[in-house]
Amino acid sequence: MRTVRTLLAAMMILLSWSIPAHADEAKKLYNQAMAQAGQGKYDMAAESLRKAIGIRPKFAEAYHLLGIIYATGLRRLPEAVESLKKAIELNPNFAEAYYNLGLVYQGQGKFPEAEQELQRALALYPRYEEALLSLAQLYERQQAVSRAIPAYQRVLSVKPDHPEALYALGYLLESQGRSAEARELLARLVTVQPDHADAHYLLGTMAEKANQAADAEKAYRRAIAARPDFVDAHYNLGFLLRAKGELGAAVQEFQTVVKLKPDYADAFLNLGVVYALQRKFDPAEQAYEEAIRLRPTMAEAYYNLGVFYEFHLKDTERALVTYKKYLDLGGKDDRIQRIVRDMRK
Amino acid sequence: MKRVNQGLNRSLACARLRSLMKVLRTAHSNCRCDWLVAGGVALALLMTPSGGHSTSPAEPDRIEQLDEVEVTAARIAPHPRVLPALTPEVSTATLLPPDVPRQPFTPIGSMLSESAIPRLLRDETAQSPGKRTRVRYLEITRPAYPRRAREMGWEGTVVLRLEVHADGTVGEVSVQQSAGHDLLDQAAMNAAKGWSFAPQMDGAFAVPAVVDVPVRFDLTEPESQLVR
Repeated sequence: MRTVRTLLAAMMILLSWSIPAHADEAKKLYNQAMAQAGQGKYDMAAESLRKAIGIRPKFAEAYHLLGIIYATGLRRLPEAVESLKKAIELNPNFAEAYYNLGLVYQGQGKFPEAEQELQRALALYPRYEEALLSLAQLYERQQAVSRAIPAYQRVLSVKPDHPEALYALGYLLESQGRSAEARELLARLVTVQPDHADAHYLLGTMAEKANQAADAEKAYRRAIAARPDFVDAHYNLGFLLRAKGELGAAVQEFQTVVKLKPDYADAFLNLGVVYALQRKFDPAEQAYEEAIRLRPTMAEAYYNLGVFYEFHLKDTERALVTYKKYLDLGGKDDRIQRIVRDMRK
Repeated sequence: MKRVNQGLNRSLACARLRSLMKVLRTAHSNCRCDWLVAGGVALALLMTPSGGHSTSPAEPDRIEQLDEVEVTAARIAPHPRVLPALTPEVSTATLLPPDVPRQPFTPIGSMLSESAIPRLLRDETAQSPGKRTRVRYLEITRPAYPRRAREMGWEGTVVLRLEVHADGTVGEVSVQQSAGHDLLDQAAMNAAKGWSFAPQMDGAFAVPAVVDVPVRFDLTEPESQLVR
């Protein structure tokens, strides 16, 4: 059956060659559509392609490109599916069309259909890198980690330094507690791509987990060098610096965090704690108040503010009010519960 | 012979008490609890934990129950992974001329990143040692040794349970353990009502507390009979 279709397709091509005027016109329109799509003029591109198909109704590549434009530029996924199916109907060995149809199905959340199309693309080209990657991501999206891991490994067997596959596999292995393997992959990744901020960050969290604070700090610094506005890397670095007693440097990190993300209540809270440790009472109080303003239900901020009033300002009255608020918000600290209870007597 | 034994026992008891007082003086430097010989009253004040007793005036289950040391470790979670959504690309169209730029597009069904890992610092001042102090003596007037007790040779230790208010004054007083003679118990209780204390401190807060205070009535032998 397939042979017959292939023969038919070949005959069609021969046929189209035998009418060079039409073929040229359709091809011209196709190229025009490609250029228009490149400029973001998707409606015009789609129009050009429809014209090309009008001239050459069995123009599989035109249907394929039209499907892509529907899917990406025009965000009309059902039409994209139809176009891509038509391309496949016209050319059943059209691996890219299967692949793109798989992507559209993924976008529609139709995971079984997506998987089927990607498998078809891979049946035609087993080393089809993009399809292998997409399949792995499909499994990862479905949280089928045990299938995603070998799928990413398959990507790496085709392209050992594939950054996305290295990162994804490192991430997944780490999530499975296979830290040593994960670390090896991520180390390879940052060798291949030294500015892979996420990889450095992940290495940093792994080092922290292994109580290797110096390595973690180094990794976070590299993540920040690669992506200076990497909020979480600054945040975690702030933690490490605070633990090392480098309070000034910790303040700087948390200040950077709140500059990058001014509504980050947690970061304001941390900033307040470090200021309090530095005995910079006014900025500490302001930071706590900002944290509470941003998130009025944040019990931990009331805890710290209460401690601040009690121990740093020696103002037991305000401390008590703040502690009560902490408990109202679900705070569970034994000492605070005891104090509030004793003070009620 | 019997009398010698009594004297010896008493001397041993005195020696034990003396070393106990030494410990007490070290522990409670504010406590003026001297080993009185001349006055005929031996008064030992000892703050003892009294947890678990049901006869106390206040809630005894919280007496001198030390804080847990809280170890706060920051949770380290891997950065949530943002899975890039692949979308069909014009570049996968087979007839794509190599010089056509890949146009940027927003990913289909892009997965949102939840960037924040909840890691919160805590001001640990409240957990540092010395933030919680026990009740300490401020002004202790020793009871006079009741004359009749002296005449009868009554001795013994009464353990009083005192409620110490946040302002350091004494609230309810009860006998936790009798000296064996009402007269002695009563003398100790009457005296205790007028005592004042530095209250128990929990951080900056003065808090009420319940303490046990042993008061020992001890008649001493002449100096020459005190042997170590």
